[in-house]
Amino acid sequence: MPGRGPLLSASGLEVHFKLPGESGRLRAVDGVSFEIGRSEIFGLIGESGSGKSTIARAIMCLEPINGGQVTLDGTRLDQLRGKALRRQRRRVQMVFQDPHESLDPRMTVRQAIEEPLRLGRTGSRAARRARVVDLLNRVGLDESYVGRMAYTMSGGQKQRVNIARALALEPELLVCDEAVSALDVSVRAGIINLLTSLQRELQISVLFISHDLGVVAHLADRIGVLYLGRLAEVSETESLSARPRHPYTEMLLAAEPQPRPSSHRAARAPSISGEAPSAARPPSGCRFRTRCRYAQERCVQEEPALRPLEGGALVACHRAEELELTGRRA
Amino acid sequence: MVTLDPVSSRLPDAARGPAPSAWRSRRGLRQWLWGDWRSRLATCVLALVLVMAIAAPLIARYSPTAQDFIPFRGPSSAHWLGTDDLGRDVWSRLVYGARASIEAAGIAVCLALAIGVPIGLIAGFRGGWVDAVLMRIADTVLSFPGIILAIAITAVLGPGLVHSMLAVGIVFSPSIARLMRSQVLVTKERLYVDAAVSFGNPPSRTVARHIVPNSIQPVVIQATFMLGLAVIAEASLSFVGLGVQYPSPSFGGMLQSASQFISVHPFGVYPPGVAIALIVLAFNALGDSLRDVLDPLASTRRAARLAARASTRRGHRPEAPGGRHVPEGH
Repeated sequence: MPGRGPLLSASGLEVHFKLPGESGRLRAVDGVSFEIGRSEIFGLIGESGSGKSTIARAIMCLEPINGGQVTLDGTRLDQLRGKALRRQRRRVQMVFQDPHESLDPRMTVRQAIEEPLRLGRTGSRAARRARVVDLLNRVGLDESYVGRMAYTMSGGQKQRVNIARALALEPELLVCDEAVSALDVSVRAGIINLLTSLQRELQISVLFISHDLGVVAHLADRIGVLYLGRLAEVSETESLSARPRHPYTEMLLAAEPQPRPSSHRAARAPSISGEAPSAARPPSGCRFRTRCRYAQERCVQEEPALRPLEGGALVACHRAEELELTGRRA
Repeated sequence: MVTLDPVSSRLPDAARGPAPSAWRSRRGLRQWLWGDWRSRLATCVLALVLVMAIAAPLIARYSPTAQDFIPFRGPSSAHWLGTDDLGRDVWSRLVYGARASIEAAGIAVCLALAIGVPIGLIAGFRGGWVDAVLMRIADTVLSFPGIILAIAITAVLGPGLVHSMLAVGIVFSPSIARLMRSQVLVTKERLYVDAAVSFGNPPSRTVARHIVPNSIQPVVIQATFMLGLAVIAEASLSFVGLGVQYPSPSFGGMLQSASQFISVHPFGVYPPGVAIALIVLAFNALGDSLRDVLDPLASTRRAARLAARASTRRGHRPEAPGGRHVPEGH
């Protein structure tokens, strides 16, 4: 029934990749569960290789999943095939990481934005064209762009076209996979503001994926922190940055650049050290223990489950209650 | 909001060139056929050959098979290119021979495309065992020396222009299939294909609208080169007596009979020999120039080269290629 419960829920999501020349499998996403509410912005952060993009592709049904389920408004997306899947997948649209790669180089802006409309068989040709212009205006481009080819536009312009195209089908969930990472800092701010205002206006849900905690914290209502294919912590944005409950979150916050000279900074937790271990051979017990300064014997033996704490946060750490972790400094 | 200044207006005209749209635009066509002296020469040669082939009865001064003249005459005002061993007018035979060559090249290349493109597309798109089976068959065909295979196929079908060119088409098709397959393998992994799938494009439409148009260009360029190769193949098969049948004229057949009397009338080998060489060179030059127009990288290099040449001519030092095309922030 629409209007009740979360819009999208992933539970126990697993995506494995076969490694060439090896018998083992890479568990890129290894039992991830989260929910995205209606008109909520859910942020997902993690280092390279933590499985962020794979989760996005799994939700978009672009990557077959090996376990778990993806449910959109009560419909199991992962069990749909063919026509039924095509009908449902229009409700979830995606803005891809690379604005240059995600536009067909042989299409004009009009053709690119019109394509989803045409597939949806919505309205006449004239109505579709009017809608293209309307969508362009909405993302801050004017009518003169309709005839432009992708290669004549800058990255920011292309990403605006991508957003317009993703909005064409009036999706209920917009998946932004590193949608601003490929852009210059100055352009990035414009796109982030655009996404925020569009979300407010259209009341759509957004899954915003990024490696940049600052960007995600600026946008998201709730944040999931991903480490080596598993969620380390899921929490409201304010509480996550004020009081992280997982040592990895603390590390990420400490690694953020601060706009003040080092002599004026308070002592902070040591920032991220070392490389993340390979997801093909994750460490025993807690996956983060090799880089965690609070790790104990128990962390080697037992893998911590994602469990609720008081205050609503979910965390996967044995010592979550006893640790006093430092958050972002005001 | 960021200002959105059209980038292209600041680029030098040549740098706007790597036009994927050049495909359809008049400018692209003009650059292909009339871009530099090589392509102009090639266009002229082929236009001449085409006119000769189409209007042969008007251009030829005698019947190509009439033999009431004195054999082995040198060029004269009555017989522009002299007469052959049976006293036939060489110019008239050359004009009709052009018809056979053009026909032969057309049949062979169309057949190679008709077989190779679908096979390459299916192999590349489906992958797995379908790919393995199709490509092993292609390897088998490729492992024979082309001319031997063509002779074998013609021997089975029976000699004649059409049959021998069907054989050449079959011999050419595996290399088209391999090229198409490799292009499809690259194109189907592009983000815009994922994007197309995510709007709800059915597979057939994704292939037709996005994968084929973005994969076909190198195949078209290769086909242009193959036209030249097919002219040679026709000449070779006619030379050994499997192509155009006596007494119809063809370049290969003319070369064959002239070569028998080379000690008596050495001039005889030049008209068909030079004609073959000119046509093949012209097809190759047009293939080269088509690649320059269609391949974005090659034409950027060409634009940089032209810009460098233009500025040296004016007495400036050439600028580093690429340096001037970088758009500033917007």
